Amino acid sequence: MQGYEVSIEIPPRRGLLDLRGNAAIRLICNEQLGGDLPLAANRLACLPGNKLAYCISPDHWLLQVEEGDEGPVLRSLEQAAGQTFHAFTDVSDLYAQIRLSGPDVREVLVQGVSIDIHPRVFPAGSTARCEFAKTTAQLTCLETASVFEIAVYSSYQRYAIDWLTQAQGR
Amino acid sequence: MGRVDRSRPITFRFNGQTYSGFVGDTLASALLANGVMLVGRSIKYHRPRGIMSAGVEETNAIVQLLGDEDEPNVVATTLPLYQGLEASSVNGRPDSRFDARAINDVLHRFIPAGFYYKTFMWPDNRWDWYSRFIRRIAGWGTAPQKASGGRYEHRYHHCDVLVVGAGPAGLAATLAAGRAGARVLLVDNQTEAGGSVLGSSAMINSAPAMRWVESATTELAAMPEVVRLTEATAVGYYKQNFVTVLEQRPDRHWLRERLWKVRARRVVLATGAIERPLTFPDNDKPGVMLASAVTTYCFRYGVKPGRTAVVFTNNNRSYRHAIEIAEHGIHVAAIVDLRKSPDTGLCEEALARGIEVLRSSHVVSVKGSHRVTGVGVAIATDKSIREFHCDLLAVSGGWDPAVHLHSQSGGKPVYDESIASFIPGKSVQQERPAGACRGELRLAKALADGYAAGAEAAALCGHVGVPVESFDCPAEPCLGILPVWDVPTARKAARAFVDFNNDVTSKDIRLAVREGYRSVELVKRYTTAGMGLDQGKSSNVNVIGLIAEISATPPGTVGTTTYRPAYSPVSFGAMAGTDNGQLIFPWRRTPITDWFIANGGHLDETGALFRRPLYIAKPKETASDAIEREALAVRNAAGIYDSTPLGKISIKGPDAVKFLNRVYTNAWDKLPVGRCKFGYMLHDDGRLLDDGVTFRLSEEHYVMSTGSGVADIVLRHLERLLHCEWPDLEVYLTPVSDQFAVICVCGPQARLVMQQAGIDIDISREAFRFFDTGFCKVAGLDARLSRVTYTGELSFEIEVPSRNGLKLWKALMEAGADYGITPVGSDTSMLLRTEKGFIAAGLEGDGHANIHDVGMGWVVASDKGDFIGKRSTERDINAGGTRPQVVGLLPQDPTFVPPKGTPIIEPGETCESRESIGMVTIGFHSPALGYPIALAQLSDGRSRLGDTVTLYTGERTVSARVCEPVFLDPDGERMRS
Repeated sequence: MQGYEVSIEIPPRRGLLDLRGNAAIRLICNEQLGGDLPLAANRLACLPGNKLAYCISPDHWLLQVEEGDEGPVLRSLEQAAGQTFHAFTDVSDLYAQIRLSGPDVREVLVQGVSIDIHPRVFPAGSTARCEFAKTTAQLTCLETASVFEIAVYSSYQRYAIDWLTQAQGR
Repeated sequence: MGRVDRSRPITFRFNGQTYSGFVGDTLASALLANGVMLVGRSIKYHRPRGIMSAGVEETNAIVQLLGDEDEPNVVATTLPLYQGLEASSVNGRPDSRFDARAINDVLHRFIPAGFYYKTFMWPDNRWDWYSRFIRRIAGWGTAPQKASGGRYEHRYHHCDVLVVGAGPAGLAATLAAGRAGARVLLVDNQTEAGGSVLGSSAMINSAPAMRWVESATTELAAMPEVVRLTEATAVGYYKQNFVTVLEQRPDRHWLRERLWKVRARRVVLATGAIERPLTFPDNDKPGVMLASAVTTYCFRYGVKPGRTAVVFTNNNRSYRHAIEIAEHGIHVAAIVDLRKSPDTGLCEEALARGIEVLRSSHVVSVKGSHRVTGVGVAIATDKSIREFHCDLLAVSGGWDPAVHLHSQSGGKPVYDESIASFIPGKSVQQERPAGACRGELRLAKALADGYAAGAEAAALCGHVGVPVESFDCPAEPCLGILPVWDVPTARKAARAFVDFNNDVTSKDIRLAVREGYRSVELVKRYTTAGMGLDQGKSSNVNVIGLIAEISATPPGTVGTTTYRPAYSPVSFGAMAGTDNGQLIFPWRRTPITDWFIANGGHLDETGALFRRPLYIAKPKETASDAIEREALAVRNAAGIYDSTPLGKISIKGPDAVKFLNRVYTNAWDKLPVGRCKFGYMLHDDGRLLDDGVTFRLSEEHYVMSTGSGVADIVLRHLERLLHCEWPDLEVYLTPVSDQFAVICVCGPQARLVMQQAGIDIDISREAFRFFDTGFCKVAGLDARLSRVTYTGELSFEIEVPSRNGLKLWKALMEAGADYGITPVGSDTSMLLRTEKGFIAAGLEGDGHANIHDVGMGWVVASDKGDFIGKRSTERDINAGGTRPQVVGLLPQDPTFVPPKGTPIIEPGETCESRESIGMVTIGFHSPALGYPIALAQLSDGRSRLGDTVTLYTGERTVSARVCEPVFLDPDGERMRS
């Protein structure tokens, strides 16, 4: 059959917070969120309340929350952080998420992602900021090795979907 | 009967004739099976040429694919046959049997190497004229007339070990690395694995070598971490072990080519060796073929390329080929050996097969025109000439390891006397040659070497524990080569071809050396040897050997040329991949883009790859009419435009003010919360980097807006400063450009439009002043409202999360309907800012301008501390001189709108003697003023206000008066209203 067997979907909208801060801020966030923000770069951590934390760098996380929770969570974190140096920002509209699943998902991704996404190197629970089809994206391998999400800046959403559709080859 | 599948016949067409072949054939093997040896004409002399080889080194069998697969210069020896294939010779008019331009061959004495350089250089600059005719005569195939229907794809691949070549050494290397558990990519340019043993009777472990090959490929197929590609050529070896691999025909039905971008931790080069021809008179006639190619056609394709053969050689290896040829039923009349003492055992074996061995002999003549009919052989021992009738002359001048990728990786090939050729030198990258690629031509040793290379590469990647493997093969004598670079001839007119692709003869090489070209690089350029389609795969070493012989220098001292990518031709389709059409750039969209498309917006790229409308035309409206209509609406009623593409950076932290003071020229200490101000950002050297408004949202939170096209550049600049220069500052930057949609309502009716849209705060002149910013609700949406302007009019800029952008836009359009609200494009807003004299950092600040040049020196706070560019700014203001400064221009001809880039000259200067003193940065006809206006950079412009200068368009000159760069509302009453 022509092309690759991959499903391209836009997942349900979710809230997204950009968290910057040092170790003290991380501890404050951990307490507020009821779970630990991951310390290992490029790894995900599931937190209570259906939250997902992405470790971008030692002082940088993305926190995915249910749609509509971004405001309350942001306010509670702000309140807890107080005067400790930090930067929490609502970036729910900054990124557009695209979900890819199916047996050929890596066949499609390797056409535009220059990093190594072999399951040995990029197993489920991995995330990385990387080049994707001449743009920048946050690539995440979700719970199974054949489900990925790509977060592109929202102005690139149409391009990214068009690009993925052609990469699908159908 | 070869490895073709005779149960699956295929029909194909070549030069208008229909033929049949089988699955597993190449076009070349199928043509030979159909008795077609003549496949084209040579590039310069248009001599008849036949199939010379059986691989990628082919110089003669170059064809044009026709029909849907239209493609020029395809090598027939590597092109798998498929049903319906249609091809033609690339040279030969009217056809390859009779070519009128073969007259060049008669006139060959007058057109030697360098002829072009010497003949077509007069009169000066006439080469373009000559080339029109020459290109019609020379050249290969023709470019396709329509876009390829096939799909071309790119893909990235990472592996522990990349093995290039699936011959014996490559397969052994892959087995070893695969058994160790490494991630291996094995690429090979053939349709099946086996390399040299595909075309031989070699034995491995007491069985036919192909049985071992099949066993190895079966084992590899069961290894999940081994990826094996066929018809895949490693074409480029770049830094950091980055190798490009061109995979052809991954799927005949839908995928034509795929370009792999491979990042390998280790590379094993098992690229094998290429047999080189001998250089002797008329060595290019159809029927002269490499000895190994003859056996390949016999063994692999079950084709006899001739009935009677003579083998002409200078080494032991071709004795085995001669015997194998004889075993396939081709009568081998003689082995003509340049050497006095070939290997005794091989001689006896040949004699036992009834093959006569002529020692110290050489071919002096080749008879026949479109096909070899016989050869004349000079016997050194008795100085006699013997004639042999034959239709096939199998030649072997030795073996050249394929060092191309090693050279591309940065290595320097070195000369090895034992094989009279170049082998890879010291590895520069994480690369190791193996097998014949490093000169090990004997099968058992090549296998062992490959296996060791694979095990070593895997171990270096952390995969150890490779089981021991031994390879038992019949003993082979050494190559025993006698290098003869130009076989002697008594015939002065005889020509021996060194480079068949470019019709370069040994005489050409001698001429080049005589004329002083000693370096192989210069000889190559002078004669074009090695510059053809095959990139010298079969000619390079012969050229080097010949230079060495003529100049009495060792070949190793002459050295090789530098091999560069690509190893074999790469199509434009493969280079482009799927990045074409609308996907050639990653175009960006705002939430309003679709609305513009649906409502007459003429979209173009307006910075940072955003597709934005230049103007929004009504049906049948011209561009200038639309821009004028939009501009007047803004000046007289209300306009609305999409400012979303502006960059936005959130700046948070207790040191945010300190940070802003350092990156902008002005002072930020006194900016209260809820206010914003304009800032100029400079490079270290004082040049303008960006300008924009920064908003203070809370004590420690600012949002900086940047130019659309420099948003990423500014962010990188600021991040670098924080990370490298000022790590002590407690500031975090978060890029939030795409988080928000930004819409601006502007014009005298803007306030009424906002009120109609249900703004929930007091936006009167007094309550919400120019440069105020604050949070509110508009049309029921949470928003941030700011009083900033790019048009010079009363303006309200509304920022909402991008999901609400279109909703807000539609609400404002509806609210403004009664006030004549008009959507405005970026060309119109550019006109409006020009009327107001607002500087565009990308036009008036063109990368050279400093803050004084753009007339903004007053935005430098002299009483604050250091800031980026301060020293240069202070130096520049004191430097004086004639730097270009931004001024306004009023063309005296009311019909003349100076285009962007128009040069400015002094009045009285003629066009011929002109010396530009500046240039127009932007010009428009101002609908509000009724006459043309322009902004310009003018040398020492500020001191020339009121002067008259001349604008020169190339066709006419127009006078213009120099004025202040503000044409409308100089006191800013409108924007503050």
